[in-house]
Formats: sequence, C-alpha cells, structure tokens
Amino acid sequence: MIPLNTRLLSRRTMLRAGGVAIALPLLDAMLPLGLGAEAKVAKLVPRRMVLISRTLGVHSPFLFPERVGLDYESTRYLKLLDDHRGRFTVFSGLSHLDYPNAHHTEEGLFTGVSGEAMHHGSTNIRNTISLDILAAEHVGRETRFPCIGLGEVLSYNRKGVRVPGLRNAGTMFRQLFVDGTPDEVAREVQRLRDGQSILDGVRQQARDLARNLGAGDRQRLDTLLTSIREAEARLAQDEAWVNKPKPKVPYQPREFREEEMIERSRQCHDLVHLALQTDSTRVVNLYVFSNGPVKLEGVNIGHHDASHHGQDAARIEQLAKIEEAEFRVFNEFLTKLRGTSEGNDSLLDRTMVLLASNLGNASAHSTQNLPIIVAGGGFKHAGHVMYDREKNRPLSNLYVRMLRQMGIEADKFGTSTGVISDIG
Amino acid sequence: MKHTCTPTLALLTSLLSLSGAFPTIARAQVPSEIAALVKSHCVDCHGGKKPAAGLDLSQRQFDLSDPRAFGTWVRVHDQLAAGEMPPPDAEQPSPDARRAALGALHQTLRAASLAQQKAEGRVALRRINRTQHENTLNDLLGISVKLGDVLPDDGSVAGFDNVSEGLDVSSAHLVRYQEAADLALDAAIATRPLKQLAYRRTGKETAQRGGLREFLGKFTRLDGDRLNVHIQLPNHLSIQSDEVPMTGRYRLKIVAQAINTGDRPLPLEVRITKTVHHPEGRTLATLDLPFDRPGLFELETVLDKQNGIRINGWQLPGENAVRERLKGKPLDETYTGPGFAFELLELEGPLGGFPPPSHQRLFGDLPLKPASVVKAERAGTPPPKIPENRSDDDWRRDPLIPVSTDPRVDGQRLLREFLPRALRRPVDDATLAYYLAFFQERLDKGYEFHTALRSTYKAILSSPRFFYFDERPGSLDDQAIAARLSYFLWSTLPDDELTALAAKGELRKPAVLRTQAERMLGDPRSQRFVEDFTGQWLELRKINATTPDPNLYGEFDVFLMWSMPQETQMYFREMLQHDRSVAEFVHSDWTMLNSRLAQHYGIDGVKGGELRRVTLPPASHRGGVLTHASILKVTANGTTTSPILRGKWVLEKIIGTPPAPPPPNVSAVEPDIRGATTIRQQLAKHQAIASCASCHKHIDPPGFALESFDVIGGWREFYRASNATKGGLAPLSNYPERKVWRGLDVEVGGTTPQGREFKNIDDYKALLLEDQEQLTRNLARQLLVFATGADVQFADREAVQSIAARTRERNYGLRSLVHEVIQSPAFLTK
Repeated sequence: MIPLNTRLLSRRTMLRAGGVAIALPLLDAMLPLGLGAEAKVAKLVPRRMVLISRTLGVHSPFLFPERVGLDYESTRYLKLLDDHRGRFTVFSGLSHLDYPNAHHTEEGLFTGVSGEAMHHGSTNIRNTISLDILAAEHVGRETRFPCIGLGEVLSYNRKGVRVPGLRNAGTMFRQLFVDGTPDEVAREVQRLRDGQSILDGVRQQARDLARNLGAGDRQRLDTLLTSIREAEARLAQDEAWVNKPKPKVPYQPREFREEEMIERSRQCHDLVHLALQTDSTRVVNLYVFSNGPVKLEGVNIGHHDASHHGQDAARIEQLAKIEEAEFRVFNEFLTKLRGTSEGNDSLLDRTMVLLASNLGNASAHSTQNLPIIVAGGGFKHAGHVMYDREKNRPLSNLYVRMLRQMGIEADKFGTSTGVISDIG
Repeated sequence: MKHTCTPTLALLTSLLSLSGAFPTIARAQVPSEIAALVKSHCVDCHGGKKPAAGLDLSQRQFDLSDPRAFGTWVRVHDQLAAGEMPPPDAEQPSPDARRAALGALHQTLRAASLAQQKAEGRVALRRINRTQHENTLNDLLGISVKLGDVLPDDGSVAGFDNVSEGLDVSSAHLVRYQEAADLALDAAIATRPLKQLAYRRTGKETAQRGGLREFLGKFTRLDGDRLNVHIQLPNHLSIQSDEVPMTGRYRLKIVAQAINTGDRPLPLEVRITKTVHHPEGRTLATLDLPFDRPGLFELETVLDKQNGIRINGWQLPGENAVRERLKGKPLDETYTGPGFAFELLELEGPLGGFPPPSHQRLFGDLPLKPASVVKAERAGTPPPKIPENRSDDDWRRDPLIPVSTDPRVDGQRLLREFLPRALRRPVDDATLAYYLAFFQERLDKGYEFHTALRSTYKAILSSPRFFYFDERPGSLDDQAIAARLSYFLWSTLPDDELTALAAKGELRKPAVLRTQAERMLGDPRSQRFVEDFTGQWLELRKINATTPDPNLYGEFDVFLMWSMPQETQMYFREMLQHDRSVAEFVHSDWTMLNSRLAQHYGIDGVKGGELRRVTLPPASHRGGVLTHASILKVTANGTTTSPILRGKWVLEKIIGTPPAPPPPNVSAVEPDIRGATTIRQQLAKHQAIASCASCHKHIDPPGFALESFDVIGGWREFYRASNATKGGLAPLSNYPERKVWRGLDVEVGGTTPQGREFKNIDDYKALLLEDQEQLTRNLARQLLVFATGADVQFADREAVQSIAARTRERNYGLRSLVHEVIQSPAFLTK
C-alpha cells in the first residue's frame, strides 16, 4: 500500500518542476487539502496517465522479441509500432506473482492485490486501490474530470470498491464536449446542489441505520461514508466547472455494430486523445472490450474463439489479423499524442500510456509473462526489457515507477518488492 | 506429494462467507484433539519452509475471528471428513482420533459461525442490485424505463449478482442513483398530453412502400390485400411498423398465414427494433402461422420511444435460393416454395388514460396546466392559447405542470402516501420529518411546488433506506419478510397485498407465507425469477458469449440461438409448475421443444416454432438440462469443447462440489486442436501430475460424459476438422444436406472417483441419479443463496440438509423445494 502521507505533495516534484523558485506560501501545498497551491505546481508540468486493458491477452510469440534493448528485432506486432521505437518499452517477464491461471484475475490487473486474495476466487478478493484512482487523487483536482474510465474499467477506490466507468463513447463525448443550453446549465446547477443536499441525507440515514446493526455491517456503512465523501467531491468539482464552457472539438462520435470492434476501439482512443489534448482530465482508464465477431478481411471466427486457438495455425492467423488491427489503432493513438504539442513537449512525452492484459496466453488462461507496453510519459525508454520468463518480476514494481513519474512519492504499490529501474 | 485441491475442499471454501469480521467471537483455543492430529499427521507436509499447497498448519493461528483462518480450518475439517487428507499413501490417523478431531473441530467452527450469525445476521447489509433497482423504480412508479446505461454493473459472488458481498456502493453508485431517479421521474411525470400511434397497414399497403416494391415478382407477390413473402427479408427492406412516439404499453395485432408448408405452421419472428435505423433489437415472440387459415395474433407489450415492430419468417430461404428455384421466371401463383401471406400489422398505443397512473402516484389528482397558463393565471393576465397540435419543442419549453392551491398541505399529503411504499415499510417520525423539511426548505427557497416535490421524491429514491434492505439481526419482521419474498420471486418491491399482510403481522404465519408464495409463483412477474435464477445458476446469461465458428458449424442459425435458452427456461418453468423432481434436472423423458430444436436433436414430429412439452423417444440421449443445447453451448467456446470446463460446470451447478481454482504456478492445459492428439490424451498428461489429479479425477469424468455433444449441443461421433482429413467428408445425421470433414473419433466414458465406470452420458446420468438428495441439497443451496443474498455459511450446512430432506416426501419436487427455502429459518432471519 501507499503510505498515507503520499497525499502530500512531494518536495521532489516541486524541484523537478522546472527548477522554479517556489515561494513560501506554496508550502501550504504540502498539506493534504492545499488544493489551489498544489494545482499551481502541477500545472508547471502536467503529468498524465492512460491505462489500456484488454481481456484476451496478446499472442506473445508475435509480440516479444528475442533481443533486448533498443536494438530488438521487430516482431510481427512491434513492427507496427516501429515509428515510435525508442518512445516505448515492451516488457516481457512481468506479472502479478502467485495469481492462479483463472478468469477473474483481471480484477487485480491495475491494483496488484496479493495472490492470496486472488486465490480466494472472485468472491472474496478484498481489492485495493488501482493505479488510476490513486493517480487521480493527486492530479485530478486540476481538470474538469479527476479521471475518466471508459468501458468496464478495472478501477478500484481505497476501500477496494469497484469504480464503474462510462458505458460508451457517446456518453463520454457529451460529458466532455457538449455544452447545455443556458436553461439546461441552470437546471444542472440546481441538480448538483440538490445532489449535495441529497448526499447530506444519505449520510444522516447511514448513521441512523448503523445504530441497529452489527460491527460487520457498520464497517460496510463506513465504506459507504467514504463513497459519500467521494461523491460530494465529485459533485463539488462538477459545480466548479459547470459554468465554464466545454472545449469544442471537431469530432462527432457514432455508434458501431458489434463486429465493428476495431472502429469502435479507434473511436475510444480518439476520444481519449481529445480528452487529454483539451486537458479535460489527466488520468484515463480505457477498457477495450472485444469478444465476438470482428469485421476484418480474413477473419470469420469471433475474437474470443480465435484467442482460444488450440495451437491451430489457421486460427492463430485469424487472431493475428485481429491483433494487428488493434496494434494499428494503438500506433495511431501514439502518433496522435506525439503529433500534439504542449509547451516544448509533445503530449506523448507528458502522457504515460500503459497497454496491458491480465492474460499472458489466453489459450491456456495463463497469467504469467503478461504483455506489457509502456509508451511516452518522459521515461528513458529501453526498447525491450526482458525478465526471467520462469520467475517473473512483479508488475507492481513497474507501477511504483509509474507513480513516481507522476510525481507521487511512492515506495510501494500493490505487491511490489521494489521499483523497476530499466526506464530511467 | 502435493495435494492442492479437491472438490470437497473447494466446496467448503466457497460455502464460507469470508466477509466482514467475526467481531464477537473470542479467540478460541485449538481443541486439543485437533492439535494432536495436526501435529502427528499434517505438519510434515503442511509445515516447514515449503509447506504443501502454501498451507502452513504449524503456523496457522486458531483465531476464528480472522475470516481467512476460519476458512483454513473449515478446509482442514472438510478434507479430513472426506478422507482426502491425509493422502491415501500417507499414514492414517486411527478412526477414533479422526472422529474425535472432526467432532471437536465441527463443534468449534459451528459455534463460531453461529455466534457470528447471531450478532450480525448471516446476510450482511445488502443493497438492491441493478435489476432489482430498475424493477423497483418501474413497479413503484408504474413505468418501464431501462436503466442499464445508468446503473453500474454488479459484482457476482457465489454465482449470483444479488449477494451482499458483491454489492458495494461506490461514489459513482450514489451519483447514478440520483440520475436513475431523475430518469424514472421523467418517465413517470406527464409534461405533455399523450401522443398516440395508430399504425395500421395491410400487406398491399406495406408492399407499396419504398424499397419493398422492388421485391414484387422476385421474392414476393400481391394476392389481393395480402403480401406473400417467400424470403427472409433483409434488414433494410422489411415489414416494419412506424416508430412509437413515447414509451408505454402498446397493443399489437398481426394477421398472416403460412403458404406452401404442407401441414406445418410457419414460425414467424416478431422483433422489437431499437429504431427504424437500428434494426437490431430483441425477439419478442415466435408465432406459428397456421397453414390452413389466416392466423390472428394479438399481443400487448411495453415499447420504448422509437421502438418499432418487425416481422420476418424465421426459416425462409435467402434471395439466392429463391432465384435459383425460379430460374429467371417471375414469382407468381405457380410458385411452390414456402412463405407466408401477410395481411395486416397494427400497432396502437400508448394504452391507458391521461394523466397516466404513474403521474397520479406522484401528484394525485392535482390539475395539470401548461406552465404559461399557470403563470398568466397567477398574474391575472389572459392565459395564452395552446394550439391543438403543438410541437414537441413547444411542450418542452412550456410543459404541463401540476397546480396546487396549497403546496404545503398537498406536498405533505403526497409525501406521506409515497414514503412507506417507496421505502417498503411504515416510516418513523424522524424520517417523515426529514423529508417534509426537505420539501419545505425547497418551497422556502422559491422552488415551484412541483419542482420542490420532485426534488424530494428524488431524494427518497436515492436514499439508503431505498437502496438497502432493512433487515436487523435476529428474526425478520413482517416488512423484511415481505421484501425478501418479493425480491426473491419477483425481483421487485412487495405489492399491495403483501404490504397489507405485513402490516397486519400475518406474514410470519407459515400458512400465509405459503399462500403468498403460491400466489406469487402464479403471477407473470415470477418469470423474472425463472430468468434471473436460471440465467445465473445455469449460466444462460452467457448464451451469446461465443459465436460458433461458421466454417465448422454452418447449421447454426439465429432461430436455433433463440430457441436454446427458451428450452431451458421453459423446462424450469414446467418443473416449477408441476413440482417435478429435482432429479429431472439430470434426467427426464420429456423436454420443451420446437421444430428447430427437434431437428437439431433428431426428433421427429414436432411442428412449429413455439416450444411445448414433448415426450422424448427412447435412445434420444436427451432429457435433463445437461443435454440441453443451451447448456452445452454455454459450457463450450465457439470452436471447441473442453471436458474441464464442462466437468467443472457439472460439479458446481448440478452436484454441488465445485473444484478449487487451479493452484498458482501450475500451468493450465493448453488445448491443442491440431488433431494429432485427442483431448483425452492431453488430459492424461495432466492427470499424471499428482497435484492436478486430486482435482481432475473429479472434474474430468462428467466432462467426458458430455464429450458426445459439440459446441452447439449437437450429438457427435467424431470431431469436425476445418481442413481436409483422411476421414473425408461426412454428412451430418440431422442435417443431411450438410457435410463436414471428419476428424478423430470422440472418446467418451470414464470412471468416477468412486471407481464406477460409465460408457456414455446415459450411464453417467444414471450414476448421478443415485444420490438425488445430494442433487437436491445443491439446488437448495443455490436457491438459498439467491433468495437471501448471502452465501451459505458453516452454520447453514444443517439448514441446507434439512431443507432438502423435507422435500423427500414430495419426491424432491422443485416447487416444494422453493417453499421449503421460504419457510426455512435461514430465510426468515437476517
């Protein structure tokens, strides 16, 4: 777990923030609630985080190269990212240790909860906070949205409660980019204020209810109180922004049919890019769901079925066609981030993008040797970093490194045993 | 030797609810009988530097207040009881020592579990889940909104999504509960007069519209007012009603007749489309068009704004097939291919008066007037004239609003009526005062009457008393019983009759409870129980999760897809209706079929698309849910079947001894379908590893019993291959026109862990039927979890046994079992 004091703004962040002499009053920013001051510092170098999860693994023989370092040979999938060589790192030999080879392990993908918890089955993973929610606690007050989850995202709050994402791109687009009429805005203000009063009542009732219940239930109500506080913060942040016009973007999302998975995924990535470009949020969690048919030349079995290829060469080829299309979308996304400049940097330099799956090999449901790519974010990228394929390195060690890059003083996260030092 | 998992062990781990603390239990001493046995027979393996299965019993504290420690000791108990531990090749404790240890451990664990239940209740504080939330808002207000896009998904625990452990409340829930309340109130409150649809078109009128005209003489023809249709119409050119102008209940009328189908009816699909331009929707019904006369069908259904109705023949050929048949000639009265004569489609609604009951529940009989009129009346100026056919935009700008001459009094009256219904119990003074003050505060702030009241309703519908079950430790009170019963069988809040009985204190009387359960099972709302329970217990919700490989399974079509879950749901319904024995989930001489499923199963004489009860011929290999195409599909992926997945499914769902998840760092079996090896050969390798064998000896046998069924539940003697094989092309027995590449022969049969051999599914089912009480215990457990929203705990084991045993006299009838669950102390206590 992250020690509680990480809510404080670290000195290191301040110094790194361009060597700017920081006036004394800013020291208030070191208090957990010094919102305004913290914001000023963070503004100097915005740090952003995008987590992209996929459920069906990646066919790793087509991903992982043999050679390590920047001089790795382009594999079938990495070839598609060659434009960005040196701006991303592919890791092999990372995983959450001691996870069973089972379905529900995605719940730990971004939290790194212990293997023991995971082994109790999906019924009783007492989950811990996920990377995106933790990052949002630090950088989220700056923007209209502390963080955005799109799809069935794997986000969890400090109490291990799952934080649901937005269901679709249309909803996200409206919330980020579509202004209401003056009437609608006025109603929205009223709605937010009413919302706050309603939450007051929720709190009061929760306390009433606790009186008649046992200790275990009181603990559950305590979790509810945390959620109430978070909801209040959410509404307050909404209210602070409700009168500010939303950024206008030349984009119109559309609806896709199930089999237009690649197009749908591209749209999601486009919206994430727009959200970052307009600084509507600095933390994004994107869940790329694909299971059924995929409209692609040469593909006529569903994605899930292709991933369970049973070593059949024809099926692996179909899977590869789907995954190539996905890597093309990822490549376009990196290209867009890189092509957007902010100050002296590109957006990619200031945005760490993690592409990950909880399955190393979907055909065997194995949870070792996960496909992990980190791009951008100002890291000293190392091409291919390879760890022991038999005795994997904890993925949480990478997460600690990512948190530090976000300017968060973290010694530990999930089940980390240290920090990865291969990317600077 | 490593022993990492056995079904028994896992079963009991899963029986435990590990949530919450065990706060009231003092640290217990390790009973001396146990300590001695552990020391002499366990710690050699389960101790030291590398304890077997990661379980170090030399270090494990006997602190039963720690849920994980509790779980460990339950595992120890169950392993010992099942004789799985110590392993057969190790030195065994004397029977006396084993018995003494078991007795002591059982007593201690039970006492601890009971103490916890007594202090806390066995069901942790539970909220209503997404489905229940939607139903509750809809039934409370008398509306039908879909909230799936607003309310977050629920977690699933112990196989069900209504178990409290999986139902946390995040900040997003709190915010979205408010949104959901807003949407529901929007739907309930009338802000404009009704906008009616009266769609009526004959076949002839339909044919003259747009593109459909092009099909005349090619795939369709006019016959008086009727349009004869001989193909499956494509999405963009179909028989479809206009979109409905508002959400509500609509009446649908269809007149049509089968043509050229001999003495068989033609199954017609009636589909609800999302919008005209998004034809994907859902199948509302399958109608069997008579072959000898026009059939008249009338249905009522709830439609959302913009929905439409579309009809199509389920099994009519495509354009190419008809073209081939016609060989360039026009389609005229000499055409002999199948089709249907479409006479009429009518769609009318929304039904019911104005203002709708949903509005009256919130605003009573207060008069409704356009806001502009109210304003003018207040100002004493002449009211504006409201034109007859006002546009939607005008109504949005100037909606109808309820007018009160005494807002404070009207508001208080309406809130007093609404609160106990919404919160499912009489409200205490403090709660009432709170909401009255909330309302008054808004009036004082200058909110208009209807806005102030609406805000207050929203507050009520987003409050903990709304979204939590109100259950207190000990026996449930009448209102809590009413709620449990209602959410169990209807997935919604109690109706007036239940509420009235609860108010009179009648529901704790077993006879009354029984009568109510009977009434509720007879009500159409019990279909929610059938769908929700079978959707999760039998995993029918996953029916669409995979798509069969079209190269291998070309016979699969949407009609079959629709029919599959219908069979299982209707089978469950039929068993419930007639109190059929739980054993019939394993085997029966009947099932629910339509022509499509009957073809798929190779059963003759079933005509039409509607499912009905059919007696199975001998040697059909069908009967019982294990051989339903739906079950065989949800336990396979689109290409291959896995005895492991199917075996696990049978253990979990039917026998009630789920295997533990594979231990960490044991590599999974990676299927290899290249054809060189059969699945049995692959699994044999796995079974050679002792740590795998301990579970797989339980998992694999049922899996191999089901190996005779392919991914869509068809019977098979050989595997299909995607490329040419030595076996050559072989016709499919139930689809003679289709040929597939013949792969290796299917190997079925095996030996149970008890050493009983079986040759095929029929043998295996017979073995399962030997212990009907175990099958019943399993279902009792599943029902109890679903009915109470909590997993079965150590102290509940006797309860489950006794529920099952009490149905023995009723031949383990399903309806009796549901009653026994409802009458059980576990159901009637928090």
